[in-house]
Amino acid sequence: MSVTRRDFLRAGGGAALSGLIGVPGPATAAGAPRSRVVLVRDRHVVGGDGAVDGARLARMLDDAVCALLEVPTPEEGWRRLVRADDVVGVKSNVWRRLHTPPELEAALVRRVTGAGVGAADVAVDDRGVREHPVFRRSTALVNVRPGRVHHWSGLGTCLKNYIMFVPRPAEYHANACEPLGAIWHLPEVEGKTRLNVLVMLTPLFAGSGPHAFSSEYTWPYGGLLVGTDPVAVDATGARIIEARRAEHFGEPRPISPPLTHIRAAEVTYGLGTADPGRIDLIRLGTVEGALV
Amino acid sequence: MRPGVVMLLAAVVVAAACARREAPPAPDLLEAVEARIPPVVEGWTADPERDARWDAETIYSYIDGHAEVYLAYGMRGCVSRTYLGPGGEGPAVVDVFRLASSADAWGVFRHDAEGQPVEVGQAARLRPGWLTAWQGPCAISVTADGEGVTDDVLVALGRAAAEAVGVSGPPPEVVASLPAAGLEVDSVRFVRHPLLLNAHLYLADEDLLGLAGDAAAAVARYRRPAGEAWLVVVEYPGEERAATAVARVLTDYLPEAEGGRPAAVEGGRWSAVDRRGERLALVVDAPSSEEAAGLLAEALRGGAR
Repeated sequence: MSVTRRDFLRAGGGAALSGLIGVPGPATAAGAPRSRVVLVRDRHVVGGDGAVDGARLARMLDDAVCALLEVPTPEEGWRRLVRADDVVGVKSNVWRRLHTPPELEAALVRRVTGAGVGAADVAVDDRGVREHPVFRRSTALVNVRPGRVHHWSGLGTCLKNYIMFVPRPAEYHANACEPLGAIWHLPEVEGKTRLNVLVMLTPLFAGSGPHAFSSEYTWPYGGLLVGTDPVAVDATGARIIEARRAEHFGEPRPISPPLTHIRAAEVTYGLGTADPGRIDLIRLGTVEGALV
Repeated sequence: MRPGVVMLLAAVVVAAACARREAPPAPDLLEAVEARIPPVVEGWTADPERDARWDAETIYSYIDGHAEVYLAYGMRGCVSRTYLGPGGEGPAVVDVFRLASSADAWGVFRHDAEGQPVEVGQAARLRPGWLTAWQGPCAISVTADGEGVTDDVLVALGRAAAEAVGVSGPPPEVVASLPAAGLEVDSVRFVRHPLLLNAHLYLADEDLLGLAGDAAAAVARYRRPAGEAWLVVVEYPGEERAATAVARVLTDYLPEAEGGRPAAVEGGRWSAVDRRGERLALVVDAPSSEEAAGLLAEALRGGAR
């Protein structure tokens, strides 16, 4: 029998039901490796008119990479992330209502080419990755997408962002998209991801229905979550969004449907850790309103 | 009995009593809806270039993984019409989903019960930029997809869509059979899929209750003087399924329970499961053994025939 409600209640009381992640298990037992996640924020990165300050955003990315890899310059950081002979696919997200800012895509491409990758060997794409010639011959991936609630998986996450690498995404929808972690073991993807960026500039923290977006349910968090462990990045993003939900609604509002895909990515597919006790969270920039 | 409970029960009874026979499958109800939704509603004009119709296969290309919620309620199709305001405001998108039954449409409508009630169709809720409504076997969604879509516009478009559906239907019988005392009306949901149950009351990753898409389950929260509890009531297509589900709950969730009696669970709470014929009742996290047993008995009596 797999995990039940009672397992979470044993693990940490009612609060542990939030997001249903972080249940102690074999993958998070003592001795399991720790993960680093950088949360970088700038309250001014998104203007009152919704416009993104590209220069600030690029600096946030640079600061995050330096802190993540403990290097003095972003150039050095990116030389550690990619090699000059890599072919790099930047897997982005084009969902019309909350897409990856083009300024961030451009900043990622600049840093990748700055590390020596040829201009013809780096590309940004989302829904066309299966046919895109750069992605088809890629040796490295950079995974970037906005964090938001999702009608079926609970959250749109870095883990979920790779669903466009499969021909029939609906086949991964079972049990709130629990099998998404399996995609990360496919030949097209396995072992290639050098960096995960969960964009938390204006995350969507609530909203349901077929189009699932209302600006009323976004807020100017002004952040990026950056890490090499997609599970840790997503789990941290989930905690932020869930905290915002509680703040907004004035009571606990666990993300729904439950985040089985994050937990499975940790426990079943071995892609990282969701346990906050095993995540070293490095905070940069704006402190007020961090929620974690 | 609390006024809210009286209102819910009254609404359910009235809706059931006044429901006309659900529209026959042929001619196609959605085809009729497409023809009847007005091209102009209070100055907002439909853009025919954006009219669309989706079925169970193509719906993914319209709303991605969100489609799974509607498919879990037996969605047969969706028609979509996009309106623009007289000064170019909007757009506002009207989606009419045809579900397997009126009960299923009610389930979709109640999946997200945020917002304020408004008078559209048989029932409706309004939130910032989004209105949902229930009308017969259809769930209606009106979404503000641009600036200038006021609440009045959402309501007007919702009413136009509900009138285009033109038929009413009953809410789920299993919902009507819930015990009334202490029922938190806004918590009531109708589900057929374990994931949707988990979305409202997480029980387990596995399909603990064996819903399998053809059982009808109501889930609700209760608040009584002794404290809160959750209740799940499931009507199965046969006694054997109900018996199997009880056995599974006892094995995988309440191994401490014996013979339908409540079992102590984590946090000083109590849970209990039992069945009566095809009807299963599961009380989750009640404040005491007595409360669990009492709510369980009431829930099982609710299905008495």
